[in-house]
Amino acid sequence: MSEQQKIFMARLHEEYRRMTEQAASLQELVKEPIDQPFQLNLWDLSAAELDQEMANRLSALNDDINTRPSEKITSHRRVIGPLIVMVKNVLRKLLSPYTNLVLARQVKFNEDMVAFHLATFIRFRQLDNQLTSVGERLNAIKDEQADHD
Amino acid sequence: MPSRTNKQIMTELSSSDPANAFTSHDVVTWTTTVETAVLRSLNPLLQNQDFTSFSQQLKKTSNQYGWQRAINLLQRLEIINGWRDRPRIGIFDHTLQLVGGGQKYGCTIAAVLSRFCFVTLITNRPVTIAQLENWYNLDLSSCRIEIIPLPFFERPEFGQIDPGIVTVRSENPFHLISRASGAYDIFFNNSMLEMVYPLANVSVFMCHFPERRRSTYFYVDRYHHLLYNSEYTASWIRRKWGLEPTAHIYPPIDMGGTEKPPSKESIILSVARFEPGGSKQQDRMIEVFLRLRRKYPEQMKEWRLILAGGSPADNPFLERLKLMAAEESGAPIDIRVNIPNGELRELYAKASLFWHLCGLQQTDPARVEHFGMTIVEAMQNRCVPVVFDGGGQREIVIDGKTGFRFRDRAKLMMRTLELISDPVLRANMAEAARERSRLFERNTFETRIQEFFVSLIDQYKTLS
Repeated sequence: MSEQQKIFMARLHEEYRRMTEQAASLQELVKEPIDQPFQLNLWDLSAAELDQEMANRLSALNDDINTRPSEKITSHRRVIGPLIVMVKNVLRKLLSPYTNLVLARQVKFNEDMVAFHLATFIRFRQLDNQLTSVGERLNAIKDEQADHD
Repeated sequence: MPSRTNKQIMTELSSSDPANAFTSHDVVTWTTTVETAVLRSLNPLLQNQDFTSFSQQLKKTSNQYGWQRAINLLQRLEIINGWRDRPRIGIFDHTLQLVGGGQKYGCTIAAVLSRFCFVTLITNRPVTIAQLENWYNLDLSSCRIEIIPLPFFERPEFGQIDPGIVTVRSENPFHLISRASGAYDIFFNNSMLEMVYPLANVSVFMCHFPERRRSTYFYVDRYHHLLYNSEYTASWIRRKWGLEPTAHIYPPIDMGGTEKPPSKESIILSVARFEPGGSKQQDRMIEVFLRLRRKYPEQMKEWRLILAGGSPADNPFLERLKLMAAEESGAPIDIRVNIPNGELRELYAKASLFWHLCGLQQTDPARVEHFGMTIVEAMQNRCVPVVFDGGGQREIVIDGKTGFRFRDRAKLMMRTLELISDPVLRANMAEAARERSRLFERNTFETRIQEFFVSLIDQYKTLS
């Protein structure tokens, strides 16, 4: 490798390294989709995996209980952006008494629904534990029987 | 703009000018074929010192396929032209700070590869080369460590880095590792962490068991090679991920054992972690041992049960085991926790039988032993294994020749009694077990790893 090649390669390397550091996402780095939404077939899951899945989904439902708009209003437009944000905020405030009437019922319903699912989950767990201990007791009886034989 | 079809891409690639492959601005996947075509057009420019054309061509490629690909091309050209004789390899393990079989697997690979590559061990929590050398008795002096903290897991509510808590709702915390992987010629993911997207020129995924299902953050299918540690693991890779693994390499086991048979004592040994969930089933071992003593007091009077293994500080399962062992006064049951390596070797040397129950009465495949390293360690020391008939254990123990396999507790009792009552059978099986264990020695592992990587690097070095 000549000195010129060495310097040239090092320069290019550094240049591209800096560019990769600036990339906001992996997609930007490789210019292709990274994540692929994947539909899980719940029937394929084992008992432990289903347990995990139930816990994850319940936790997600819990996070989404409040359907009232809470995101901060933003705009990507440079000049008229602040105006758009202001108008939207005013509109949100003016309409909130009416939307809240509807959404409050929805939030209450969501809370009840999550609580109900949680109770079902706990009840299911209790039954599962009972079943396991019955199975263990049955095995112990079988072993005792074998000892006597 | 729609993507081009494979046929269109192939037509372009087979044309006289390989540079045609990137004349369009459509998004196409970066494949080995595309990479080779681009390298063929770039390399002569570099050799002829036509730097302007080279830069333009590289820019064109990076505009179409991303900046990372430009880095990948530069790295590979350095190797192809012999400007760098040793490739850079990054070996990732997010649990390197913990002692374990999987970590030993990765570190042994690092030790082998460091003879002909620059090896960096990538991890997320502090650990030193000296610690790793000490834990696994390896020479890692020419390797370096890169610690990349993952802010997502640094929150006080999280202890260990548990990929199980990452959902599609959270941002993928392992993208930091994915980014780091792009700095290497070869990236070896020894973490079983399917959420790391490989950006290196060559990527290898080591699967000790497919613990999680496919999800949005599943990238194993983006790796060039998928290694597996046992046929049992391979069958679950096919079933759970729908992927065909590429190479089978058993883990390295080196619990030594002497060529001359040592004098054995009447000890039944178990070596397994005292997992708080009880998956190694030491509680059942105590039950079976006590039952054997009650039912066959004469044959069992000399025999002891020793349960050895590692355990975290507060472990209710271990406390329960201690209570169980103390329940029957005078029962010779010894529980040894976190003992040093020397003491463990002594136990292996003295013990006659080895029990391993992991997988018994389990329906979840993850709770069945994926391989069973301690079984091989026992066999290397002429302990006759009596193990559950499932998982990786089927590949280690040939039933009736190098030990026994059982499906239920009654069979375990029967086989144990058979061995206790027949010293000749025990001695013959111990020798057969030792012979069988040679298949899994560290030397065999090192040879297989070296062969695999040398062939991979040879391909990487040439532009064919």
